Amino acid sequence: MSNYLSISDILVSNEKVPCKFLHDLPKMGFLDPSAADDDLKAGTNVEIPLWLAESLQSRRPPLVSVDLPKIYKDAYREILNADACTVDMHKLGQYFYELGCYVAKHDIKGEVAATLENTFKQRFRMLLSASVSTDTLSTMQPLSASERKRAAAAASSENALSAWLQRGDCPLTTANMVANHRKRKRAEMEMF
Amino acid sequence: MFAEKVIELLKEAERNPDTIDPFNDEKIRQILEEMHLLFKMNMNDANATNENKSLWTTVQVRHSALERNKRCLLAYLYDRMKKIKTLRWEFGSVLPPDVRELLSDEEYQWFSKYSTNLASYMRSLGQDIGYSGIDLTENLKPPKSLYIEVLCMADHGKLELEDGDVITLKRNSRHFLPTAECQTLIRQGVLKQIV
Amino acid sequence: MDPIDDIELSEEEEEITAETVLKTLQSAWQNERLAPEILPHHNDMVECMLGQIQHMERNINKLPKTDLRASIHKMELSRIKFIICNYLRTRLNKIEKYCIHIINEERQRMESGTNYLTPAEFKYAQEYLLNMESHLKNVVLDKMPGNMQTLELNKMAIYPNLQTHVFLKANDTVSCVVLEDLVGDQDEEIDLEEGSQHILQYKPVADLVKTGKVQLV
Repeated sequence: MSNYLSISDILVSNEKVPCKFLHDLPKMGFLDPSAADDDLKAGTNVEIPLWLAESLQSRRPPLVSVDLPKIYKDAYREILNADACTVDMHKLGQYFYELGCYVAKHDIKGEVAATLENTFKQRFRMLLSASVSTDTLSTMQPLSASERKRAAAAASSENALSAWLQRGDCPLTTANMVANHRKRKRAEMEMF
Repeated sequence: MFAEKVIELLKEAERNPDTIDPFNDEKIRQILEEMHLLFKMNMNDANATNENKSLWTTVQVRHSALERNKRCLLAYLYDRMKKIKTLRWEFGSVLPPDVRELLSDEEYQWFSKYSTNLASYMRSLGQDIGYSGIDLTENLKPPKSLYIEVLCMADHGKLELEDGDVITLKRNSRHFLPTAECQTLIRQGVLKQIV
Repeated sequence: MDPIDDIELSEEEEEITAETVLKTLQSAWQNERLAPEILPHHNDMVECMLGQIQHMERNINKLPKTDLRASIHKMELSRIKFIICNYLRTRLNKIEKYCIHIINEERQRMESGTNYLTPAEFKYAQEYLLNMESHLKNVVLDKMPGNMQTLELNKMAIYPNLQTHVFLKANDTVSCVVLEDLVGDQDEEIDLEEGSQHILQYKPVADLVKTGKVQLV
């Protein structure tokens, strides 16, 4: 549990997964937006955040059974395996890999793990070639959150490398947070 | 749904990784309130489980929500502590008033304690051999030349150099200074290196 | 005048040159920068170098300001200072990040006298953790419902990722490095030849880094 304090892990575990409740839950009707009852009946299918699903599934006996979100199911897996680069990750899976690592264990056949790996390999090649040229990033299919970070990191190290190759120098600059606070202050002053 | 407020709080922090937002007192109060409410409901229902066994599962759901809220609040504070540490390294031990305002009183206390601890560690460096300590917030980049040309970005007043010379840093004035003696001012945005 | 002259550690000890000290410090710095976990400290080297800097500074000040040698030596000094600062800062960053884990491990190491931190670093780590604990308690934990108030340090601990891959160069020939197979049970054994370079997982070579048999590059 070394992710306890990680904000990105918290946001990943906020993603919803389909679950089936195995027991009656009095007073928990609000978890199912389509039901009007106060109580939640055993057998109801509801989408709940991953953190809740994992915690309820780990109880003895488990209170829910967890199903795969649709992007990890057969239909999407076929698309991903055929050509992962065409998928709009921004829309379909902001946290595609991270969430995938969590839900892979609920996949009895073990195919999710293979799809994750395969998707990563395909898309990594795409990212790599995009980050050495400057303008292709915007022409690609939208990226997932971690892909965007990686692409930005790749681009900035590429820039740093070429700057260093050109001049072999790294000028002293204002510290990052100092500069950003200045900018924000200026923007605020302009607003008034 | 449970623990949604706390997510808003964290998304805010995630959106601005390079600045620190004002400490969100109000939201934290609301989240703590949500926790107390959940706790109270759980106490009541736990006492009623004799009549209705299935209430027990409801209690467990709420308990998970309590744990979640706790984790998120701690992550929020921890993230801010990381940013406050950066403030110490970049602004130095004295914060400009507009930045100081963004911290809560407790956070400012934490900042001071962090600063004191860091200072006493730095002072201890080389003490055994009669050295008076090293300022680790200097020498952040590999040195390239002994002297650099700088442009002054703000009226800073007088600066006494190691060799005894005194110069006046006025806005838009240019100087040729020893790198070692102006790097801190550059990081604080008072000077800018001309390349 | 030659500021980089030999220095004596003590009467009995072997005389080592400032150059050797600088080299050792440089490789310690490089390892510390590249290893995911905190490494045993090299405080003696740092202090030795600091003493040397003091000595050099005094000599430089004796030279006229315009002397070219003064500039060259000053440049050399600021490079050494950069290495020392960066080395200590890298350690401090790790100490803060893995604070809980490092303190736990260090307590055990102290019992066997194989501590990785200097006394000052250990004091810093303890103080840092203490401040963090009391901040979390004051601001939120104490205001939570009764059963939520405990600070679960075990949950909060952050661990270095020892499975990360590193580039390394073998200083000596090392035989039978066991590379664990995480998925299956097909462990592999390899030999590192002196001077050869490899990309390997950090974990199996961690001890070799600490004993100086390999150098991270």
